[in-house]
Amino acid sequence: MKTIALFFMLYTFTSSVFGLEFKNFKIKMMPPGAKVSLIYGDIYNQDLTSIHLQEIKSSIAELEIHEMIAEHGQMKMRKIPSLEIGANKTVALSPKGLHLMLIGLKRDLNLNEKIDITFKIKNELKTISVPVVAID
Amino acid sequence: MKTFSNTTTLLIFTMLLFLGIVYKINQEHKIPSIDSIPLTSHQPLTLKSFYGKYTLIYFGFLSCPEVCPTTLKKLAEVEKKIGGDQINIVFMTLDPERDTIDKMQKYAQFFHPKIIPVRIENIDQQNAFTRFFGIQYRKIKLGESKLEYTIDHTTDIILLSPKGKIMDNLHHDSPSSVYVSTLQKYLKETSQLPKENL
Repeated sequence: MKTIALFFMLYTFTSSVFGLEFKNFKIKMMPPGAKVSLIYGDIYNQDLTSIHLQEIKSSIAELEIHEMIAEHGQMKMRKIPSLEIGANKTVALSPKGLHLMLIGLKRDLNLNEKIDITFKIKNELKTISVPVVAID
Repeated sequence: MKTFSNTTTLLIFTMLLFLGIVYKINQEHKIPSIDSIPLTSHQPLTLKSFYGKYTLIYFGFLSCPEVCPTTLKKLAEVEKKIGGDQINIVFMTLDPERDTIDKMQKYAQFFHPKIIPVRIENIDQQNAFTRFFGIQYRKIKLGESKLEYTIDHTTDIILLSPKGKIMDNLHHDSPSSVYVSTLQKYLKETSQLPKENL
């Protein structure tokens, strides 16, 4: 029974497309009225060539790739035009580094709900379902 | 003689007009003392409103997706742990252009109803206030981003004494237990002091 549950969990949170594997993706729960949130997780490129991640969509908000930089006691955030994932490499998206930004949230997020995120790579679409988790 | 008198009158009038303009400009840009700068909240406040208790002030903004919500969550944990109406927790926006006090109130309450949201309406006063606490911030335009702009900012939490003296700068990355033990140390010292020395 435990094995089936574990398999189901892995199936839910792990998804692969175009040689890409999306693991442990999460959306940060934000307070009511917040217009932004962030998404993090690991992307593993199983292909023999690198992949550029650029177009990401969701019906709940605009999506952009951003990077958090801690410098001289200050926190800075900048937009990244695209994200290259080398052949057989994993890129870790994390709240304090590279991450996906949800901008202009159309409604408040609910804890544990799942939001569909669609990646467009090489003219193919892949949608993953990402759970909303509490602020660490 | 009549001509001289008219010239003098004109000169005096011009000088008075000039002095009046200078005075008006000075008044508009006059920065009150730090503890008299008006802070907008659900009621009018100044820094003096927080005197009498230790105060933690955090400077952030609502479009900040990581450090600000995480820090506010930790400050809420501090309030829960210390309790007993012993401290103030103040959240000041560095983005008054976007962050109205209603939005801030809703945001802060999600973490703890005792977190006090404040904003400063006048930019010169906001700059003087942040500079006093060693908080640096800068509005940065983000090209081709739907966010339009972000705010680079110092993420330290400032700990003020009950008399408004800066006691400590707490690092945003420390766990809330560090904030709690720091406050408990100060609260213990204060409880051993005569009241006039607070």
